[in-house]
Amino acid sequence: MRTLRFVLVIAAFAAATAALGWWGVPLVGAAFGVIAARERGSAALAGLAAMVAWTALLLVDAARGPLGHLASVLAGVLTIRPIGVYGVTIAFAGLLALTSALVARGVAPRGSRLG
Amino acid sequence: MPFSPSRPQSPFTTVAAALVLGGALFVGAKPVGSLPPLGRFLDPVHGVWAVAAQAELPAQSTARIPGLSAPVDVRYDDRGVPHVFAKNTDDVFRALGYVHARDRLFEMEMQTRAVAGTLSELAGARALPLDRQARAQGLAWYAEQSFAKIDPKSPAGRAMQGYADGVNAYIDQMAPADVPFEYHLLGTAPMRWKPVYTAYLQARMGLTLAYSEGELQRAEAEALVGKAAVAQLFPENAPIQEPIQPNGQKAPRYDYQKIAAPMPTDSAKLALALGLEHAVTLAAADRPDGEVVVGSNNWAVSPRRSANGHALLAGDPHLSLSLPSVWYEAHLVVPDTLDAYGVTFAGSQLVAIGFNRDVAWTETNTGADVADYYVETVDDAAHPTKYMLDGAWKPLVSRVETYHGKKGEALVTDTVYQTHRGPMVHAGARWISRRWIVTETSVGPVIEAFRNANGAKTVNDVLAAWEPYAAPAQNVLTADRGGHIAIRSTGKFPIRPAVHPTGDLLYDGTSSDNDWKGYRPLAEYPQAIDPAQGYLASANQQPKDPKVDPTYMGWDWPTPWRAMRINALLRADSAVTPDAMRRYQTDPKSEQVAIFLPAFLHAADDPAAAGDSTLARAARLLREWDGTFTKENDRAALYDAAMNELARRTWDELEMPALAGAAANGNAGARPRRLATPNTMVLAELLQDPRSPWWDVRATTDVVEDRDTILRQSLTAAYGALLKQYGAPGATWKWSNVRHSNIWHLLRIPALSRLDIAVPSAPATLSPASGDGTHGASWRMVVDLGPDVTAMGIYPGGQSGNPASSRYDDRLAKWANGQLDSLRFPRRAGDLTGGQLRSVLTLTPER
Repeated sequence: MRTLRFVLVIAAFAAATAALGWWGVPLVGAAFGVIAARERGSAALAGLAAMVAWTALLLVDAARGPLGHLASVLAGVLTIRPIGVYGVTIAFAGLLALTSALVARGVAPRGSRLG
Repeated sequence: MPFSPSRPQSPFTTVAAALVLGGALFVGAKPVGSLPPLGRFLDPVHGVWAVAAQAELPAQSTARIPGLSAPVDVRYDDRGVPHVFAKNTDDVFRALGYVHARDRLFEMEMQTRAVAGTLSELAGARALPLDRQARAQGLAWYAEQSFAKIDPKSPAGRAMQGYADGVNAYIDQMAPADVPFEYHLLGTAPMRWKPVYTAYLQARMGLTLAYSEGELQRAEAEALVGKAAVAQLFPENAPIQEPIQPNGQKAPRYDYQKIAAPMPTDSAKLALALGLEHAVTLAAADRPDGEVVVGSNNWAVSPRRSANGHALLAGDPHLSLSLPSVWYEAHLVVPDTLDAYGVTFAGSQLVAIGFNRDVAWTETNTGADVADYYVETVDDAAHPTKYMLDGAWKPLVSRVETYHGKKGEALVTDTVYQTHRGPMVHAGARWISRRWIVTETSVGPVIEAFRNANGAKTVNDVLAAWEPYAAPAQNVLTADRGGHIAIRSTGKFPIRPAVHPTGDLLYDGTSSDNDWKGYRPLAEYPQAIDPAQGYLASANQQPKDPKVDPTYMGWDWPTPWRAMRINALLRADSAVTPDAMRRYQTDPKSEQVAIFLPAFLHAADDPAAAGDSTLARAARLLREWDGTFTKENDRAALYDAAMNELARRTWDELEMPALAGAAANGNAGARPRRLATPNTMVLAELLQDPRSPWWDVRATTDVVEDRDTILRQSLTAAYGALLKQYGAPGATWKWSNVRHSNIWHLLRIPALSRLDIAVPSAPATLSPASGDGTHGASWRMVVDLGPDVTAMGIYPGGQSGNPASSRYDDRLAKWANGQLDSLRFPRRAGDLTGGQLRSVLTLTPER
């Protein structure tokens, strides 16, 4: 069940990104922070799920075109290594999800917490 | 759902997380430094990563375009060239707008904004100087006026509107993956396309090809060395005559004269001239410090001088190189009306240089003098409202230009003035207006000229098509399947007032007597059809021999070295092949070398220099040189450096006087800026006078240098400089280490540019290279006008503007090696099959 739930959270991040753009990540992260507030490590789980979701979306991009070449171009523009471009992208999603989940968890009324 | 309960979260964790989240949201939503908002940028679905999906053409795709009357079949061949098969011309323009936008949308917007002076809205306040300069030129304003005169139902009006419909259809249907890379980088979105933007593009070409500030440099040079000398340093008539219109000679004619001695500097005149420069001209730093060496070549041979008995034509326009290229290859087909292949400008509707089933055409720049400056008298030097003309005050047209930043915020405003002649600027204590052919011409005739040329059947049709064309004046070369070849320098050439028929001075603006009196009749244009010599060639040289027609057309003509080389090659080859034409385009020899190399060696052999071992080493290296500029050549660098030294040492009289120079440059201690540089044709003329006072270096007051002293010093200094930079003579002196092509991306981002490309180019070879490598051969084409027209061509770059695409720079390597691609020229959509066909795009009418 934990695995299934993790997959569902990943799917939620991916779907929210597709539908709402990058703002979908903190929204889903916050929602998950409220929903899983009483679970230990839920915020980290959100961060991890967001990173996996964006990695999956990048893989979709890779299936549709020369993502590696694009990463090299971007790396040149940003004057960092290509792996860094991927890293920044995935880390950005993780950071948004982690911190939004933590904030939501901290400010949500205890009565609203589900589990 | 099972879970592991956690302890309550500490407030510190929540606050810390909130701070980090706030920061992440901020950099996600707002640009920081030069970075775009990172959220949208990094988003794998809507951001820059999505661009990968559109990097390559899909095998099949469809789109709808409003106004299309019937489906249009676009077949991309294996070189990424769209072959557009439409039922009528309106549809073909709509389709071309769509395919241009698909591959070059960002380029189209950049060049439009460059003319409109709105780059700041895209790139922020750093682009403000460029915008202010563009609006002071008034190009967009004039383009708007020109466009307003076009009947929307006329062929030109319909072409511009249809094209805009196509571009906007693409913009309206864009998925995130379709948004060009650069918009993601800048954090902006594409603007919609207006039909008038084609007029902007035309104005931009006018600026590139027909804009001259020569009068200003001439005024500065006159202040420095006197009028008599300047008349010969920047002459009306080239001292080496190898004209475009054949003059019956079988070799160049040398009309060398003794150049008048330099006079002492007139400081008051110089101050006035410099004030003018700062007001009117491009920023001084943007001026090339030396001879402008770029230009274009074209030539054609008649059937009796070709190996296969067909007329052959070569086109080779040289322009500023960029990624993506200024050119976009396309093939436009409308049954019984249009079947033209060649290069188009992204933003314009027709083939500018190309061919159809019967005829081929290409252009070089004429470089005629089509701009004049007038010193105006105004009612209020600070805030003028009127200017004096024929003893009466005339109202000035003024408009306030407001410049906006990326967020739409107003950055600054300028008031721009205009007399009946054109824009007026404040130059020190004076106001100067400019009359310029580019701001007096309509885009309508340009579109008509190209449209008719695209559908021409004979060389006469092509020449007739170009008759209404005004600017920028072009040497239009054409050849047809009937075996005819023809050339005409076409465009409007002003007739100046009889009291001063040349446009090489600042006119008094208070009298309308000084205005232009009309334009020269077509019969006086430089032209030739089927000349006895069996070939025609142009390379920006003076078009007509002044002994044939002394009428003024311009001054300070580009050097004839390329023209001389083309003519030499064509005179020597009575059985020219298409492949020979291709080889000629990157021929590594220069006729300039034949004049200057012996002079260097003669000077070095002077017994007076016998003890100079450095000079002897340098001379030995030059003597061993084969005179070519191939990439592997390790002697050409010495000659090139020696020529640069020679110009610097010879023209020291044209450098800004030391104190004024340091102040004007804002850079005390720097090498003085040369205000104007005579070209190497004039330097060759000066070589004939070994004791001319021009050889004397003003700084060495105790010595009087002569020609051979300066030649020796130049060679020795060049050798020393190369030794210092590249080490001992050898492989490191290879020409490919010295001279490169640098093809910058439009945003000048190195990672998107292709720099340090080794090319067989030198300042005076047929494939010229500018000093900074940013100019060069922008499109090379060879057309064989046999029963079935065949052609080869290439440009540096690729069809796609997407840096992630394999089509972004796929032609660069071949271009750098002087190779050409065979161009596919299918008659029907179904003719491209198998590996020849890369992608099919079907455009349908919007329901």
